[in-house]
Amino acid sequence: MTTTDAAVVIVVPALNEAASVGAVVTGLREALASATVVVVDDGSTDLTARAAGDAGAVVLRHPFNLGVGAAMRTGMAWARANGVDRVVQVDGDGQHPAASVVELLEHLDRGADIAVGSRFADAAGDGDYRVSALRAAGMWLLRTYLRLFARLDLPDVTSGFRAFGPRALDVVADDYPAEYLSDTIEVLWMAGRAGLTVVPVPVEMRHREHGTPSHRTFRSVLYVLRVVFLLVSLAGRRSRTEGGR
Amino acid sequence: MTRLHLLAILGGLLIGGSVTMLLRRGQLQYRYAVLWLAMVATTAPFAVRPSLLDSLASWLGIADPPNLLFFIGLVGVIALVSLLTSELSRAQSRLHDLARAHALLEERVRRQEEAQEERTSR
Repeated sequence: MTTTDAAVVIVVPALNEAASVGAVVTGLREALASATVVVVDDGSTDLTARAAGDAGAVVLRHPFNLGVGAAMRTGMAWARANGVDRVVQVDGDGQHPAASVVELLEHLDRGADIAVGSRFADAAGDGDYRVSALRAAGMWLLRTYLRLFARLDLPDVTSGFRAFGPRALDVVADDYPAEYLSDTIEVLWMAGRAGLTVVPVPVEMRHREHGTPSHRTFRSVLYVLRVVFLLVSLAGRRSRTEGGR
Repeated sequence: MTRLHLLAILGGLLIGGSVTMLLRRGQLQYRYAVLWLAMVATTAPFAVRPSLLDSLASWLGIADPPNLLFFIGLVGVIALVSLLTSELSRAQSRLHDLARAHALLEERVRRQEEAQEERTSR
């Protein structure tokens, strides 16, 4: 079984991405002809669903916005219902390069359960990806937490560019967390605690920064608060699950 | 019996009556009605017999009897609100499950309709 002809579903969670989703779908289908591209329209108010359908994607429409994690759950459910046990997650805004999907899948072939496309894995660290100090602190916290408590040492824990193998789907598909941040962090935490192999794969991403600088500071503070809240709730869950055993 | 006394009794009856009415009209589910009625039931004796509040307060060591009333009310409200938020979370996650199931079903129906159209047009 090789990467290029085995069945794979590429799930693209999209919210109001009518302008970019068509090109993303086309790019993915060109990069990997054997893949089925599934766009999960997460309650868009624009023509995202039509643009995705016209580009040849299977379109799943949430009647209202549920979040990226919920979109992944829907996409994974579709894949499993159609007998496919490998799923790649790609953003609908075009920041993830379609060509790298194959690289992620190759890591699955070599035994990884989850391959995470990572912005920071690049040793040169080039590209103009820069974050505020607060946000960087939040990311450091997340990363350290996963290293200590889930035994995963990953450079970019919040990346939304990932490939999931069959064993990973068994662990996360039905319980994919829907809350903000949980959809990236908690999934890794679940995978780490289930003993899955998670590998980082260096990928060049086009990063898009939104909002004005002051707006960003506010959001950074909010981000750190959310990080702390998530870690506390994960710690609570850990003692609960451990106690149950 | 003072006017205030009468007012308190009337107020209790009004709340109890409107909860019962909502319940009968089917606008309030039984389990929430029970909570409201329980609140009425705990406070009603004090409305009927204010001296009860004084004796209970002094027995508990509360210097100012009305504070006991506020305390009871606050505890009741907190209980109601915490119940509502947990119920809301549950309802929300069920709604999300339904929305996801709907998305999957809609795609399946669309696909089958397309397949059928193709068959009939041939």
